[in-house]
Amino acid sequence: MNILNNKKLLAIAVTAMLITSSCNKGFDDIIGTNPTNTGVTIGEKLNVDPNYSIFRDALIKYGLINQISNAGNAYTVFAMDNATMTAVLAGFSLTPATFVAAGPGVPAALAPVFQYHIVPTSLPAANIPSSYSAATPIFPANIPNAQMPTAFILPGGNPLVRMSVFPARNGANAFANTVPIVQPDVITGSNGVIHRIPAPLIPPSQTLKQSIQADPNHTYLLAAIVRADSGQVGLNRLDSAINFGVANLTIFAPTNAAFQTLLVGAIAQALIAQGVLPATAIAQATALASTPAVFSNPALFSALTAQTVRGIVVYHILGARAFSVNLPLANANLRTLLNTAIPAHPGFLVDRTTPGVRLLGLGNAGMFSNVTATDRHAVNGVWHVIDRVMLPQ
Amino acid sequence: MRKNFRNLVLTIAAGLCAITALAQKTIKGTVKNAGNNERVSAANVSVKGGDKNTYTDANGNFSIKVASLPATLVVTNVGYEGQEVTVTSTDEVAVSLKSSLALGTEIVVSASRLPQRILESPVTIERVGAAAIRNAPAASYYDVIANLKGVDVMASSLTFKTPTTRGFNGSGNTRFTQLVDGMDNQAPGLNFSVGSVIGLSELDVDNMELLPGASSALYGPGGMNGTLLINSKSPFKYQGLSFQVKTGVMHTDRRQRADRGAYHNWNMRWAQKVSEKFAFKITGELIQAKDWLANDTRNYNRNGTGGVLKPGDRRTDPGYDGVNVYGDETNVAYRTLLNGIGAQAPFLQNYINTLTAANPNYLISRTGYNELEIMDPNTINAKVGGSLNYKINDNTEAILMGYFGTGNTVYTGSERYQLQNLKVAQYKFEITNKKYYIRAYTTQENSGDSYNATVAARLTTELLSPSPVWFPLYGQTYLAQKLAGASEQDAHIAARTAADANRVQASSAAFKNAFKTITSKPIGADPVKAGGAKFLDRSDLYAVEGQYNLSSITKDFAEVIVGGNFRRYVLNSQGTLFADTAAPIGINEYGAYVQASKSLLEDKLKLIVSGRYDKNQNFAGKFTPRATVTYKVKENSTVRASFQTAYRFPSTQQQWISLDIGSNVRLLGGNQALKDFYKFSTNKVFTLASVQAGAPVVANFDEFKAESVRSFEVGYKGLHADKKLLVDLYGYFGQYQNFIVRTLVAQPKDGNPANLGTASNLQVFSVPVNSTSKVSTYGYGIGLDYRLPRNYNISVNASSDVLQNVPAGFIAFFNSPKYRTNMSIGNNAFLYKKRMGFNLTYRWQDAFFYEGDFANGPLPAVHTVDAQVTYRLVEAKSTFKIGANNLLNQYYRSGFANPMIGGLYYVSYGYNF
Repeated sequence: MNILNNKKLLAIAVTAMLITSSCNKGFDDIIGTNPTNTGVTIGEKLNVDPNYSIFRDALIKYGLINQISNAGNAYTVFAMDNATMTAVLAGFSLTPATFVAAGPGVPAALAPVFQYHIVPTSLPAANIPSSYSAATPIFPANIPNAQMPTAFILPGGNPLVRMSVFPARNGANAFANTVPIVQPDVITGSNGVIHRIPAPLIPPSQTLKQSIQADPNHTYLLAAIVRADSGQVGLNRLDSAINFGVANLTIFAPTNAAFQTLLVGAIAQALIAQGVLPATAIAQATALASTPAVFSNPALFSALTAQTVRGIVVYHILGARAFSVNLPLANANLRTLLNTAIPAHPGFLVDRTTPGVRLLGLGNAGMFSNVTATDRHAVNGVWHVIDRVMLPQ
Repeated sequence: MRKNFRNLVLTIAAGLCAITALAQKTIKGTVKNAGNNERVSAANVSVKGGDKNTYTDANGNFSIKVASLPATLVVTNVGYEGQEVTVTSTDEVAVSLKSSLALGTEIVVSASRLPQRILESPVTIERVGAAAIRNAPAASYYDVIANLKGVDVMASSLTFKTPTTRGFNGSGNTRFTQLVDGMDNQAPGLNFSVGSVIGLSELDVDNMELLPGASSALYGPGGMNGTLLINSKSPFKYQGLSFQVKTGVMHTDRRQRADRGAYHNWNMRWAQKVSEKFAFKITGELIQAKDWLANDTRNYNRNGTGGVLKPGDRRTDPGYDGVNVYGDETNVAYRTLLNGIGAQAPFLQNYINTLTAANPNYLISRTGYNELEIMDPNTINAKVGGSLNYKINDNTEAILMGYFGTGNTVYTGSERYQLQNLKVAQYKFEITNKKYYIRAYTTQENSGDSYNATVAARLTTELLSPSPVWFPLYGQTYLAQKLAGASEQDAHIAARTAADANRVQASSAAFKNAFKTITSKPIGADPVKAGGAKFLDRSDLYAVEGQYNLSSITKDFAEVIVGGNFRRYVLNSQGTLFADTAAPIGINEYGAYVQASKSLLEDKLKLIVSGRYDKNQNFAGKFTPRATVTYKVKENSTVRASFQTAYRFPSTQQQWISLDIGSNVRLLGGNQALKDFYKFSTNKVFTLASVQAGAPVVANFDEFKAESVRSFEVGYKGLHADKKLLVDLYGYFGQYQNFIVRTLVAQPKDGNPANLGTASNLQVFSVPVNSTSKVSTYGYGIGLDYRLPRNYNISVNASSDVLQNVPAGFIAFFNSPKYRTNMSIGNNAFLYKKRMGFNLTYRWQDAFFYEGDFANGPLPAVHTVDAQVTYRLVEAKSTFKIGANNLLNQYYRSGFANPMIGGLYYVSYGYNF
């Protein structure tokens, strides 16, 4: 072997080694499926739908259209078609043209209304009220609606505290609060759904307490609540709870007359038991029960103990929001806040055997309470008027 | 025995009295290299037909006593042709040795505990001599091992290299034994081999012998997959002062660091033969470097030992847990976090339910810190060692030896560990004779300021920003963002930004103080001292062993050796690693072996049979037989076959660890006492998989046993092509039994199995058990060494290791590429006056899926090229070298989650080596 061959051999070997030593690989990317929405968003669909152009203009005006066009979040929109919108605007002395011409954000009073039509999660009709309510840890009344936050932030500015809307299904019909959903899933997009409603969802502006206070027919109820709260503190005070913005309650509010009827009977019976003649007793009782101050009269504290009054008041309150459309369609019992103290209590009966709604308290001996007015909506609940106080025993 | 003892006494007495025969004459001389006139040191000079022998000193001088004149001196040295010189007078003798590149002439000892030619070894063996280390381009002698066939080397950091053979690689490899001057250098507490951190300094390495495959029959428990024996240089043989200074750069492309990363390695050895009877040596090495960084920030799904990479990064995955990012292991389930808020804000619960229904299973993790930010990236490694050697007589030597090392480095175990001021010392006393040896040694471990990086980062994060505050803030911000219409990803990013608003950077003083607080407090359950990440490991090993060659008695029948050993481990971690809060834990182990070898058919056929019995106090005794046969087909051609068994008792950690690794997971040892302590019998434990599947199944534990392997091997070694080609082939098959694996079980904290469904009620234990599966491995290798003319040398080897019969879901930690190959070309004397040398090495290994306690993941194929050029200044005994490891600066990792290793370029100056 001569030296030339030798060198050649070496050169070949070295070259071969350098060639074969190609690059080492760095870190390979791990490719996976990061779920991203593809397709057209509800915002984009709404934007070009001629039936909803006025509603779209409203969303543009109040800066909401971009939100529902965001493919990265999910939305449910309760939308009104052009005919409904025209009627709604007429109520504010506006036409679609003057509404658009008024410029962004004007009138300001309508901003919360449209915010209240948008829920930042997808709730297709099939999910209303959905099984979610079953997982709701809210007190036993198993009302078939789902409390959903909207784009409307409650005064106070906490971004987590929002006006809630209550999509529900009852029988064949779906509702948002009390407004029927006439066309569920009218538009579906990659990021959610739009339901058509025939009337606006008006966000409440008062708490239950404020709303009840504004009605002079319910001063006895408020006085009874004060008596019931005797010795209670914090949110255990019903007075606080009905004024607490993020509570969620239903109150069946007996009228003043209903309370008077109950009180006259109860006080007269107590007087007769003390030996007062029946006619005198009734006259005295009627006089005593003629003002709400009857609940703060020390002379009657033994007859109207705080515990008794509290038992009666909480028997009229549900730990969830039940609009009239959410009430059972067939006879059924509803549990009340009384069940926090007496878990086994059967609640009261919702009677649907006659037109309208009647309630029957356990202690009312067949005397029904008629629901005479419904769906007085408050920030923290809803209240209905009844004409007879229900007795829990 | 008694007679031998008397002999020993007599010989000692004789030595002490220093009786000198008056008739003796002293011959002095020098030995040179005939090629370049270089003085040859450490050449063996012996008197033919006598016991006397000596070595040339650093200047090639020797002096030897002969009984009478004329006498014949035999001069030999590795790499030279031996020479006989007849001396007739006491005049100075000049010997010129011709260098020789004869292949297959090395003598190995470890294959059968008896010296024999490497060509005739009964099992596969590899030998690396001092010359090979000198000529290798590798910056550290552990890297030289990587170029042997069938070897994988795990690099946890620059100074932390762990070799293994035949699979099961890992930083803390407990299936591969390393013996340094006969001392097992596995750290008794931390369980990794401290070889490259503590062991010999490079100039003191005489040779390394590597035995791939099962070898407990000779070397005791461990060595399931192989044994590496590293032997230091005797001060009688290698004398004088030598030193080496290496300086280099490690980060030329500054990809990992802002600076180019200086590398320094200072090495010295001083040995002095004070008299014919007494010699000593002192060695030292100091390494200082900016280490490679483990910078894999890919997203990892930690799930016990079955984790895998997953898509996403810190921006796109709220539960992101980077491989080399620490602190982000702390997480909560998205569902749990939001439902917690829902419980406080029931008006959002329905809404939260729609979110958790859409994203049922993901996690929210804390924001972590990269490895670079929290670990000390400055590697410092200081080693000192030395020995006192006294020749009691011509055949008997007493040696007192010690090695001590300390330093900072990083290690990958079940977590990444910052080893800081780690101190390990080994001390040995040995009396050795041609017939017997007896040695006693101890390994003293001190974990210094070492800490668990993952735990440290998690606890520091908690200290600076407690999770009970951080997570709700995150959840509330996320919900607010979602309610305001932000996209999922934007909401998570905003939530993290808000929760991390006061997050301190790792470079800030606040972080450093908190980190220091955590790393200076010990890990563990002690309520007073706990809450830290530091180990207090002071575990020790004490060992005594001996061997006697009975051949003088049994020579008519066979060559027989017997031996035995005793070991005592003292585990002492003050509860920071082991269940030793009350007192240190002792573990005793002993064993004995006998080996007989017999040559037949005119020495062509050689049979060796050995057997060994070992007993560990916590485990049943174990007998391991071994049988080998070699047949000399012709001169320089040997066929070998062997049957070997090996086993290992569970490591000290597998016996006694009790370490909370966070997320309600505790690593437990297999000892029954630990299962009793955690009341496995009364508060039953269930397999975690069954609990997660919703149908809990009680986990039962069988007796915890030693794992074992049976291995069959055939091989061939022979010289061909006019002795210019050395061929080495092997093939093996091994079957593993009672393989030790970890399994995850869960126990209800409240003792009620009905509540196993509640995640917060689960205490998870990782418990070692014996796998009932029998896995097997097979592999083969071929090595070719060819001597070209003009002193060129070319080597090629290729090898393969395969694990088979792996049951589904079984994590074997095999960690070996199916194929790997090495090629090298070198010449240690060419060009100008034959004073130049060079070596070029190429290594390739196949891609494979790496499985480790810390993380699992794919490792791509690795190509590396190492090269060096030397110039020897013969007169000044100096060597200049320019070298490169990973010449092409192609970053690679040897283990998943380990550092990316780039090019290391250095120049060195060496004196007298």
